[in-house]
Amino acid sequence: MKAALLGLVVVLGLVFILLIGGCSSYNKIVNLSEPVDKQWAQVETAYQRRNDLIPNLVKTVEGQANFEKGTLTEIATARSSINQIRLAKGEVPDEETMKKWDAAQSHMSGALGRMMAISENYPQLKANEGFKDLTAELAGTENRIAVERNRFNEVAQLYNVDIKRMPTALYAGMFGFRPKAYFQAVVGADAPPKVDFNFSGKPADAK
Amino acid sequence: MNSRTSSHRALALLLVLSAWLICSAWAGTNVPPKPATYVTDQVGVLKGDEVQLLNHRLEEYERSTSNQILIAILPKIPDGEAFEDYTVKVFDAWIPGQKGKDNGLIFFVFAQEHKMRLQVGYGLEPKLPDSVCRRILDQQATPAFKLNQYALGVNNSLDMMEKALAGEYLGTGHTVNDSASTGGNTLIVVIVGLVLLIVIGIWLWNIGRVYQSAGAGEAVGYMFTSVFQLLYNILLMFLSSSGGGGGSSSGGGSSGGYSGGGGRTGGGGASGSW
Repeated sequence: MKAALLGLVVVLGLVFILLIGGCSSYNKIVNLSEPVDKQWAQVETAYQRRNDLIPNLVKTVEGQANFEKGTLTEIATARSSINQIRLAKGEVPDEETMKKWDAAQSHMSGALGRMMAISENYPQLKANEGFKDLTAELAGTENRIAVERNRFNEVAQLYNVDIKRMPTALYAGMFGFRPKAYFQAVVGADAPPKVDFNFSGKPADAK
Repeated sequence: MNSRTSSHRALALLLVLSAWLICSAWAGTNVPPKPATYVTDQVGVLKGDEVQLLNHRLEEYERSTSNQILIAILPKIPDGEAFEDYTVKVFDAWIPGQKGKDNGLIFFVFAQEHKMRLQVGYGLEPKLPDSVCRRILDQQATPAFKLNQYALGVNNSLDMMEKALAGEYLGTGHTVNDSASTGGNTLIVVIVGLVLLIVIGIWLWNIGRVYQSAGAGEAVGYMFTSVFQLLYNILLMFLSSSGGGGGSSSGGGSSGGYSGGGGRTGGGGASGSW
């Protein structure tokens, strides 16, 4: 009788501890997961900012007589390939989507870099205050993108490490928490954009 | 013989330890420590009372608008650091601007390299977009810096910044330094928590003893200790989530002076050279 009572108390205690452990693990994962989603939104905002900047930049550059059109075409194609990738709102995409999206964005970075490098050859354009402003905005936006990407990887790492560690790992799978995708290091990010002079420039098919 | 090898070992350990210490100190020196004033001039290009006047100006500005603007005149970008990366790092260490408002800004001047940058906090970006920062650097700082008129360049830039920022946030009427630190709150939580822990602990211990003496076995006692442990962990968890905010540890000195409020930057701003 006494032993049965004792057993009951022990079992109840165990259940209680498991429950509390589960709750605190769950809360911990949620606490770590939220910054990742928030940071992802920051990354998206930074890229969106660049996207919004592009039409003005292209318009200004196009206004320059005989501006080399090859890079403008490239920008247009990069833009449409970015737009083709659908991202779920407010959610970190899975690894594959992330890779595709990142590749499209870095294609755009390359195209913009080449366009800016070519613009160096147009003194009139370089002296244009509007163009200078746009250049400053673009430089600032590229910097924002770099900062937010780094921060994203940092918070995603915190989260990913935690859901693989022991007490939390038990509950992470149970509650359906999956590891978040990282940004890969940008290929050639440390190298300046290559300038290829394409004088046979076809006219840009602006849409 | 034996004592010799052990002394060798101790020497090797000492060497490794000191190498590690030097390395860690080295890594730390890249980012200058958080200043206690608004103006940092490591190069000495500001003459006479210029530093004091600028400090006064920036303190008054913070008092009326709550925006924190810092001036950092440094010799050069440390080797192995990328320009814009580095300024963000320093910003993250100095944390100008209030937490949540992110209304801080650092005006970096790297004197030897003739490079400068406005590193803008998230909260000031709408009023100080990169293009405006670029204009400030081009039109105000560059001409004066070319003539080695650093104070003039900085003051002119501040004039234009203040105009651009006018009306961004309503002033709180006091600086971050004046406001009571949130540390008191945490202290109360700690004390209440400790008292609760002790009371619950004694209570549980007593129950455990009663059960033990009644012959119910030590298991129950263990269970209660583990519950006690759990409560302790929960308290720790709570503390770690509630503490750590604020960041103004220097507290109520009324002398004025800078203390970072926890602002963040997203990398916005503009760079220039002269």
